[in-house]
Amino acid sequence: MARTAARRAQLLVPGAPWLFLAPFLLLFATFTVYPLLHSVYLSLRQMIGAGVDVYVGAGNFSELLRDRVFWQSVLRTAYFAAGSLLVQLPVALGLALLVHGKRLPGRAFFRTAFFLPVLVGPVFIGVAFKRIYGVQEGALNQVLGWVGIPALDWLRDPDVVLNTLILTGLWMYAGFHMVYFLAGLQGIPVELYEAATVDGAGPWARFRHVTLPGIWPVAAFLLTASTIGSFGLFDLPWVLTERGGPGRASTTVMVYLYEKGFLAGDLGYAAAMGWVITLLLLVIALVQLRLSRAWAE
Amino acid sequence: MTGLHSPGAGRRGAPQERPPAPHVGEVPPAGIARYRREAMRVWQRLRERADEFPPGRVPLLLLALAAASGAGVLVRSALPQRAALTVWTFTHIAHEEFKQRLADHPWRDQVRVLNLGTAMFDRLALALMTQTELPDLVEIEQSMVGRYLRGPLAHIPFVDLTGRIDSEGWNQKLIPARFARYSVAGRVFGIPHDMHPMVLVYRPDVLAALGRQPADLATWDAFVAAAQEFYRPGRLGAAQWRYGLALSAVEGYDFLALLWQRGGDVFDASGNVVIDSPLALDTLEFYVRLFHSDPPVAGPKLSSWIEDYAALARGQFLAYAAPDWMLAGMQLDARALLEGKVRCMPLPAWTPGGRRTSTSGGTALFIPRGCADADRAWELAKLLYFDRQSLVNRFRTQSIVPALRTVFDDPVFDEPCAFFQGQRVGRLLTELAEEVPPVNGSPYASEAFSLLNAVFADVVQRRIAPHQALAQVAAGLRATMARDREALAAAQAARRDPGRVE
Amino acid sequence: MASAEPRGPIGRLATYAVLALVTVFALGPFVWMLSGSFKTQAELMQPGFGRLVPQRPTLANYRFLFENVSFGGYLVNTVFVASAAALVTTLVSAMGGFALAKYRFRGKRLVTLLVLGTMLLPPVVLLAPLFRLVQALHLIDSFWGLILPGAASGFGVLIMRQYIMSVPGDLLDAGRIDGLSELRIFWSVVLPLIRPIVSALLIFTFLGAWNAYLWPMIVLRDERNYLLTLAVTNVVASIHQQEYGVILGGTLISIAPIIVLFLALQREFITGLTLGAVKQ
Repeated sequence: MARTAARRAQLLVPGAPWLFLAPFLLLFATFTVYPLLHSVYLSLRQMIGAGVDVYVGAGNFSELLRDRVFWQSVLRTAYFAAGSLLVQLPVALGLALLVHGKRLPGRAFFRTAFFLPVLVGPVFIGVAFKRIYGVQEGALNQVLGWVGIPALDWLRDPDVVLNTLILTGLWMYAGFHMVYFLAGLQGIPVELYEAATVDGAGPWARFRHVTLPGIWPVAAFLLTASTIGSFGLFDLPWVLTERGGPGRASTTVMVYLYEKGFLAGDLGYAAAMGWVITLLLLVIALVQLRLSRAWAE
Repeated sequence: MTGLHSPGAGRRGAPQERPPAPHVGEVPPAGIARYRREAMRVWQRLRERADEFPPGRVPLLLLALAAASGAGVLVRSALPQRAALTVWTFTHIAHEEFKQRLADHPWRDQVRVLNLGTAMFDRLALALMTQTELPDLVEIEQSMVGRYLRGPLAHIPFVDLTGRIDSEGWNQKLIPARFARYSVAGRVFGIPHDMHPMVLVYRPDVLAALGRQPADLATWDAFVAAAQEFYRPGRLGAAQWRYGLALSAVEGYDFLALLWQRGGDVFDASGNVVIDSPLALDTLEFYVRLFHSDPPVAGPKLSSWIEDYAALARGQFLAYAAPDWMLAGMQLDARALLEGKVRCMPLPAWTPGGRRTSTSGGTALFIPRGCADADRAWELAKLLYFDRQSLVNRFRTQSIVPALRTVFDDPVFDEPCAFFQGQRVGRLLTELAEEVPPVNGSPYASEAFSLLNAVFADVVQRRIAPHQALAQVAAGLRATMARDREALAAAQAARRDPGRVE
Repeated sequence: MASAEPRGPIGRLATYAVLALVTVFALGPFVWMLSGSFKTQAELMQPGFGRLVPQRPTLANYRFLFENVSFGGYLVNTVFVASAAALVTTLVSAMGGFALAKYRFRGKRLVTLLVLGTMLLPPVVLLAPLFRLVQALHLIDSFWGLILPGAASGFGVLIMRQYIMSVPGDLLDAGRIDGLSELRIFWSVVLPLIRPIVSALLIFTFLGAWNAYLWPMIVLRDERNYLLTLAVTNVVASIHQQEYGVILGGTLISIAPIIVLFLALQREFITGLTLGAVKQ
């Protein structure tokens, strides 16, 4: 009976689904699909200066393969992505475990407090944190000094600067990941733990065999989302470490793309770069999907 | 309509709350209490109503915000001006200065000044590419100019100002060395705004403690000796270390300033790459030695100018090389720290009697070729850039020495400056301005900076040798130039003029 | 340790100690910014941490922001753009997600795949073509140039679709039997049932639009139309590059409304956020 009603509805209002999809499709076609196609067109051309462009076919792509700076920026971004994951996820999980205990008063407060940094945009962080990271006068080095750790030049030492970004990323997103892990933990039935305890499992074994599998779907999601987000990172290295500086030390792929496309003026090259990055991301996402499926078994 | 309930619908049937009857002996609620209860009831009603809005309360809240702010936006936006002329700048200060200049001028209503911030350079590039929404005048910073000058001379999207400059005598009224930066193949496209001579800001008391006077530091060799005496080791972040000079250890701009002072450059007047010349190599080796000599002469600049000023104030740096615009910044941001403690002196020369200044930064005004009326734009440019009173004001507020030397006789340059212990800094700056070394412009200048900065930290830390670094930079630049030449040649060979992007 | 057992007193103490430390780490910068925004430039110039409570607290920084820098205007601009963007995007996404969830039609799979595919593309790639398009549509320097391009959110449509799929089809059919139009069914039946995800997407989009930097930087021309992100970097930080009190004050004003919004709507936000990822 329900099915005939639905079918009747569709007959009554033919194209009802398309009506609902129309606003989205219109905006999507205009502002996503069309620029996408145009960027394919651009990627086949080379711009020289303002107002001059030449068709070069696959020239941009072959140049890109030879472009050492590009591949270095890919490696840098990969280091940043991996570093962020390795730092943020365990910390977030740890925090979630600490906060999760049902009898822990003040839980809501901690959850809120840890989530607040998520709300601050990278631009504001870039502007305000410069002072905190200052080598001579910065608050961070001061605090480290109390604990006896020598001062680091967070913003201007090329060897440190990527780690500064990772640290900032930790501050910005740990709460975000924690919230996800909390939700995941809440979804694990208490009976599983009780059963494990009855079977004589200690806390570590309980963690490995009940908790980890239980939050695996969340972790897998966060892994992929975080990686894609890391590769898209632009605002933070642009504002905090000033345009991917010092030199090239914090130039992520997005910074390099922007530099080549807008600062050097070759939009075609930047478009080609964008497509190569997208391809890379696709490969990474697929690999992660495969791995997570294999692990889940 | 049966069977349908939105979550809010059920509440309609709830019985009304009745105010509790006062108990015997209780005083009836005072006026305020009753008002509060009424208010609560209205609030409760509002919430129920809000709940009946199908999408919920949050969308309703946002709708209210959007409506309120939208009204605010509409009310505030003035009628769009049919401006005849548009001027783009990229700093708030320039924006204010131009607006002030036009405030009493009859052209006030016909000119629109916009501050696009750092996005201006990208917006300009896109505008030039599409030849739409072009400003009539645009201020461009010297490090960004290159990208707009690429391509064949005929396609450069700015008006060639050489003729006007020569016929109206501006090439004498302005210090001619400054034009090179904004020219291609001898054709001038930008009017310079400034000279930006560099001085050494130093602590006279610290220098005296070393037994020296400024006159003793007339050459770099003399300075090196003094700095080596001044040096004290110490951990970064602590207050023990002392260095004679603060220099950047990660970016090449200070190195370039020294190279320019010496007469070298990245490009020669014909646009060829000369960054790997023996002179440049020698200068870079000198620069690296400053950090690593025993004892060292220079220490790395800190994370921000404020930290550098604080170190200078504490006597940890003896001297700090600063262009004219930085002097205003010091007075604005670090007055409490440095007032009355510092003085300025010319840079030590490379050879006795040699040039005693260099330059850093620079801005020029350009007229895009697609603009409606180039002559009117030129008149406006002269108004904004060559008006004596504006330039004097600019010096007073931003300590920027103009490129227009005819203004140098103004008394403002002879005013003593309390910040620098009463020194007549203006006069020093105007004298040095005449000596500012010419810097050759090139379409590939921005790339040169990028390439240099990419290897600079490694050179200073001795991970690669100076000659390797410069060779890398030169090779990178030549490769880009070759790639452009090939593409153009290919297009021309196909008998098609490289067309504009539609 | 991961179970819901109560911990012993030592465990409790240790837990609180660690949490307190993390709280300092998480909230420390906010406190520092707040305290700094009330300090004079002279006090801020002193090395290091500085005192928690300013020596001579001053409102000068905030007054400067509102009088000389017209921060109020930027605030209004940003509120408008963020709320309008949130509303438009969420409405479009809800409608689209509804269509993909509750109807069967040809091309449905194609559309879904297309949307999924484009989500991988980093937005920076589309910057130049998008700019030319927006220019051609005369949306430069207009707030709609900020709102419309982002309104077709693949992410939004997909999470709407996921959530709406869990709405029982019987309710829709009951509505149809009663003679309601499809639009009415969407508005009065479906929307109230998906309030959590609607709220979540609204807040999400609001947050994203509030913090956006690159695109607004490129689209907006007149300083009067700036958003807070642009104001803080281009106006405040370029007047006095090192006048830190003003910069901190400006930053705080820019993030305060978001924080207030979040504190008021925490539950909706977090529920909606985690609904998609955590499959029960």
